[in-house]
Amino acid sequence: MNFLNLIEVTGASLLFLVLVFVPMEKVFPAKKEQRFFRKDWVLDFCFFIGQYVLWSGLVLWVLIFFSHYLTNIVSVDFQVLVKSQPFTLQALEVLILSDLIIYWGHRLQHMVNFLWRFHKVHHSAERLDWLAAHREHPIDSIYTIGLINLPVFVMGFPLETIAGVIAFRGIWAIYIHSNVRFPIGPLRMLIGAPELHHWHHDLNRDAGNYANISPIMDLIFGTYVCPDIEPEKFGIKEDFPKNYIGQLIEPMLPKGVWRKVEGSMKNFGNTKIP
Amino acid sequence: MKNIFLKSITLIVFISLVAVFVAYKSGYLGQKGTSIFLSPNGSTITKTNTDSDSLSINYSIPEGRLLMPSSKVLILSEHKEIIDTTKIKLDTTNSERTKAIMGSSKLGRIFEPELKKDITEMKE
Repeated sequence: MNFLNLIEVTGASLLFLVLVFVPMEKVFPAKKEQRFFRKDWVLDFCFFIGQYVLWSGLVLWVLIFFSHYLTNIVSVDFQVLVKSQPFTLQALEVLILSDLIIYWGHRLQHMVNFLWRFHKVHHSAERLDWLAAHREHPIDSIYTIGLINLPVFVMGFPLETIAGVIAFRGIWAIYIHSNVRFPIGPLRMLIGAPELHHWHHDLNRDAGNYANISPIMDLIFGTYVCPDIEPEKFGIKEDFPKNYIGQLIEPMLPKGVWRKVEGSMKNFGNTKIP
Repeated sequence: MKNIFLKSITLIVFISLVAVFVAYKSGYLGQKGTSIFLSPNGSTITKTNTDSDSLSINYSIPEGRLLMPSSKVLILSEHKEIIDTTKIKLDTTNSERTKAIMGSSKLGRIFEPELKKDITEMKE
């Protein structure tokens, strides 16, 4: 794929996302005062473009490298057995297994300081919408995509089974970040909703609601949180750079080194990078 | 009334677009295969690929199949022809041949013993 194609794909994806989510955000807003071009829009747009144009290739390369090892964990005989099951059973297994993997993988991102270093980039967003869902460090992306695709690597589920699940999980992950409040009553115990995930983005690092498609894992493991109101503030309590370059570099450096880098950036007057 | 109509239309459009997107990614909208990103987990091998160059497979993104290759929706794909092992029987007796073909446990084609028999019969 050449650069022009990449730009086309990025543009088409952007247009599609705007069509899907902006009407929902306008008609069912969670925070009515929030505008389309709200504060930090440019920063989140940098993450969006970065993810599509710069980082997807790198993320893919790393995952391909590790997938060689992952595919050997389970025997070929077992993988053949997995594939020989009826389609609906496979789809159900993929849903449950990937929900369990993603739940614990996500919970670990909040528990383990090393993983949190990268994941906090995503949580640094102080305003949530469909675009803020794309604020993610590339190393965090490798971790997340690895988890999502893990059932394919390890168990040998065919892509015909998992592609739909991953696609739905992906677009739902963007939806639950959107500035939408659309209460679905008791169904919210089964299907993940923005009202749940917004609480996950509360200032408290251990606020709960780690699941993605379905909150069942949160219910099982006691991390389900669902007040009837929106959180007052989103973001993190820690000091964190407010620009794209800073958010990419800070997690990769020891604190002392970062302070020196930050100091020299200020000296050169580069703090206005979007 | 106008408000209800607007809300209903918005919901219908949202649900429809999500459904179309999932169908597109699953390969139900005229795509061949379901691959979005390729992987050694049974990557799409180009016509020029041979067994010996399986380690240098082209991992580029297939054009015309992409929408939202972001971290949220990135799928590492496989190729049906290569790892649809449910339709074949494993020839476990010929490990040397399998080794030569397979770059990783799921990369290569595993020939169906019955197919080999058919080929032999054809030659005769």
